[in-house]
Amino acid sequence: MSDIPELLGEYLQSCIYAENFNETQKLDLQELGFIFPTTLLPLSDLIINNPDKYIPPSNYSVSNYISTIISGSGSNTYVPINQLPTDENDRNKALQAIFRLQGTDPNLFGGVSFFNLLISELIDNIFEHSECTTAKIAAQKYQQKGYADFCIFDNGITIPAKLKKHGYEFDNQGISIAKAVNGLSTKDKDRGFGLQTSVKLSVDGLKGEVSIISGQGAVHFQPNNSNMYNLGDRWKLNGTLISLRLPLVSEKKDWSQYAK
Amino acid sequence: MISIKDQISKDLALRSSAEKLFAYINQLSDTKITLDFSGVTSISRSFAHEYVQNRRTSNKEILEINLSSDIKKMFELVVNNPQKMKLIDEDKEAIEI
Repeated sequence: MSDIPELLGEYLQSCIYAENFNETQKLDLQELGFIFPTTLLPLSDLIINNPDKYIPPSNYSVSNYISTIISGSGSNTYVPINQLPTDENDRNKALQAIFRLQGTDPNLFGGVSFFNLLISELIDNIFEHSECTTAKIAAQKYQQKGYADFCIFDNGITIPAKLKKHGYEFDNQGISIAKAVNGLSTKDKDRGFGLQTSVKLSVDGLKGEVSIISGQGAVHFQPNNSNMYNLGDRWKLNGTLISLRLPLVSEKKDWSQYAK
Repeated sequence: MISIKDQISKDLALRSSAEKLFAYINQLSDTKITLDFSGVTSISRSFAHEYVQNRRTSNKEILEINLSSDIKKMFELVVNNPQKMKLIDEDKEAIEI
């Protein structure tokens, strides 16, 4: 799997652990030396719902990190895994927890308008399109690594299934996701801008990376390169996971240059 | 006058917030409504699009005040027939995993 982008690889790692759990009825993370939100978010329900079957990492730092991100209260360096509320007023408060990751630097991630726009479109999409019963977010800033990871997961219908429901079916599910990013919408023709706005701001604006995994398809964007992936049955996701990896660069950017 | 920051949030993120705003506005007895955007720090495209759609069909006369340049830009963007961008080549072969 050496040619697979890191973010996508982190998701595949979560699949391997889930697969092992299904075979052994143990979620064995003993050997884990590090874990990213993209791996942890899809596994979080397994950890929370099976405490007697969960074997935490031997590495205390990693074990402690998992506990913190599952049940911590958050700060300007991380957003703990939490469910997006159904009540709209509470949803706005949940968004503030993500926006807080800018900390004291108003120009981080392109500045307030830029960053908030990037994140808001992804969150709004969940409520507008996913038909999910649960949606979760998590984020982590890695000062030493020079980037921050943001993860959003919903257990909804998936992008390919949603498009299929409205008469759009393609040769593989990676293409469905690509079409959605390129603006195909199941709603009015003047909709369908949200996902592409977020991708453009993240990748062209901030030189970050975005992985979108949904059903049996995935797409990955990085500066000057993008690919579609056919995950097949083994790596499929019952829902949609969007992972962003954004450099910790402090520079105010004009979102309108990327959202024309 | 309605303060948008107090009525919704300083960050206008969700499409449903715009829908809810106009559901509230449209049931008010006043025919002229002033919406004060003071303190609003960000706006999503989705919110702006829903706002503009609802504004068009509202039976109220709406006056917006204290719009930042960012908010104005976003409203102009959603009104002016934006073009969708092709960010990924859909004809490229998908990589099998």
